[in-house]
Amino acid sequence: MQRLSVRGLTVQYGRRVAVDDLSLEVEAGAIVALLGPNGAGKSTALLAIAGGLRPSKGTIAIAGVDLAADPLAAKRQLGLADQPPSLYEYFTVAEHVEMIATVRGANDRAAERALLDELGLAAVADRPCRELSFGMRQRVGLAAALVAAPAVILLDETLNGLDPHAARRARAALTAAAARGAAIVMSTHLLDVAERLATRVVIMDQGRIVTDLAGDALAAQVAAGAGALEALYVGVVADRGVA
Amino acid sequence: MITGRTLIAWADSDEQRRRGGRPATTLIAAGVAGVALAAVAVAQGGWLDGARPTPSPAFLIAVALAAMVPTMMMAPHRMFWRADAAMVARLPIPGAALWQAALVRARRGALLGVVIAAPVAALTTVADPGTGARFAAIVGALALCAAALLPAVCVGAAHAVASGQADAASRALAGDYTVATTTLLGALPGATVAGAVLATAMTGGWLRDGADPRGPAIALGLGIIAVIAAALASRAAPRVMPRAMREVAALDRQILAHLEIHRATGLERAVAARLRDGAGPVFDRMARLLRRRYPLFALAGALAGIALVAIGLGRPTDADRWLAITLAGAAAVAVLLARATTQPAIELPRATATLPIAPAAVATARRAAVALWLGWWLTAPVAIAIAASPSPARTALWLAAGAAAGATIVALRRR
Repeated sequence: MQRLSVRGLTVQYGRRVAVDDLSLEVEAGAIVALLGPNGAGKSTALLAIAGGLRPSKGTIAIAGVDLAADPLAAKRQLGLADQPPSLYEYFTVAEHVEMIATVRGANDRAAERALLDELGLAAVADRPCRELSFGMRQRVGLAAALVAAPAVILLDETLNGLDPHAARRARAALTAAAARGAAIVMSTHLLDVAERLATRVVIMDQGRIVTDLAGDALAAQVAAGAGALEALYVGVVADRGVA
Repeated sequence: MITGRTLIAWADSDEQRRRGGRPATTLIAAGVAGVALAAVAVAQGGWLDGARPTPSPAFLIAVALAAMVPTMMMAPHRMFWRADAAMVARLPIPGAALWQAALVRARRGALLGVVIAAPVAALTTVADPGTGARFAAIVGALALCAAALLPAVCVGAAHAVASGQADAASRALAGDYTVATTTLLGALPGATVAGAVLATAMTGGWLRDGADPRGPAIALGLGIIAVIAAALASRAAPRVMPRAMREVAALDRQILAHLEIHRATGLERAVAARLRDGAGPVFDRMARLLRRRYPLFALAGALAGIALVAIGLGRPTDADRWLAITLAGAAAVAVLLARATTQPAIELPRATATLPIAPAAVATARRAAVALWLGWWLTAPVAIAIAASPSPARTALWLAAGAAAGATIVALRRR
């Protein structure tokens, strides 16, 4: 079942085209790693898909709901962990996650506590977000994206800066979310994470998709050994000196 | 070599780009406030009927304090509690440059105060050159305090905190029951401002007829103290400022991290429950965040309410004017509250844009937050003041004018 459908998405900042005619269909249970150099348009694309930017052109559907036609219904099915995470600094971690769940229409406090526990946030649940370290903030951003089990989860470099235990917990939580039927799109520069977690790898450059690998093609690439994805990346992305 | 001028040029450039080409309205707002104060004097004195009375000493003192106290109170904010303080503290910037930049900012603040007081000074000079000169002397002395004394006091306070002297003194006095020593950064300048206010309040007799010898002594004394303090601070500041900036930034980060977790009150929950179309959770969020981030809004509301009731029931001379001034202040706070609901940490535009929250729900929640503050703190006091007035319609008119003036002046100030 298709969870996310993006067709012809174009985002312009003045005359500069940040995302150029991007189309992406993501099935339930898929984990898409969105790779690309700095400035490739990954964050802009994710923010536009989440409704945080008005696209210049194109259509976006979240769980079958057109984002432009019914933004509230579409956003109820969507979780975004942006970069840096948008946190209400004067809320505690538990309050922040509860607030996000409430506006998504969920009211299961036990599930929220379980999610915090799953991500290793139970010990800081009652601390204000402004007291947290970088890695902890990343984890809270991830919890906010996952809470209330949205159909589409967008992560913008959310796995960066996590310690090994936290990274393992995050990978487990994402795998579980995908197993429940969520479609996950995560931008990252961590190629080992992409190799371990992704069911599909999409590489962007200059606002466009330049490579899209899934299934057997991706399996073959990963099976080629450590560094194979890096070799592919370096091969398809021109070094423009902006990274 | 980085100088204070370089730092100011960087900050100005950043500020201009932040405004996105819009003109700086601070000076305009100060001018409008000054003209409004002069208009009050004109209306009260009957200038439109041809009279040329000298404004009362009480009014002149109120104008001088209204013009200068806010700018004096802002001194630590201009020096240490700036948005760029943590970054500046980490850079290898000479202390002399930090001190020069602080002085330039303090002078600019003092200039705003002078602009506010200038129209009333001109009016007073037309009515009576002697009183006008005395008023100008008091304003000038306070401007010197704002431009030189307060920065010097801030340096002293920062040195006491950064060197650990404040902490040691606190422990010696109170043992384990110590307070955060960064409190000194606000308390010492605050006490200095209170001293200047008290001294200014004692110049009433001199302003009236020039006979009271305490007046010139106070004006001259404030000026001399300011100059001496600035000279002493200038010698110490190059050594003290870098460490003070670094320590204050670090202490702020550690100590201010502790936060009182206030839950939503019953009234706030009741209001949230009544709001429709998704505005309830947004209001609930705003109410809690506002009380944690800006607890002084509640204090300001309480003080305004108490003042309105006290003036309304006590009916001192010129009660309507004082009621209007009080409500003008409260209206200004209401505008600041409304503004706070649009900005971090209360509102995160990117989060709101990506969550299932309608823009109309945010607008409704904002209106409810401001309405609740106004309703809770001011409705009853205003009603009492009007009911207790011998001329309720006139009092209501004064209050409306005051509220409009206060809200307009603050709304004109740049964000």
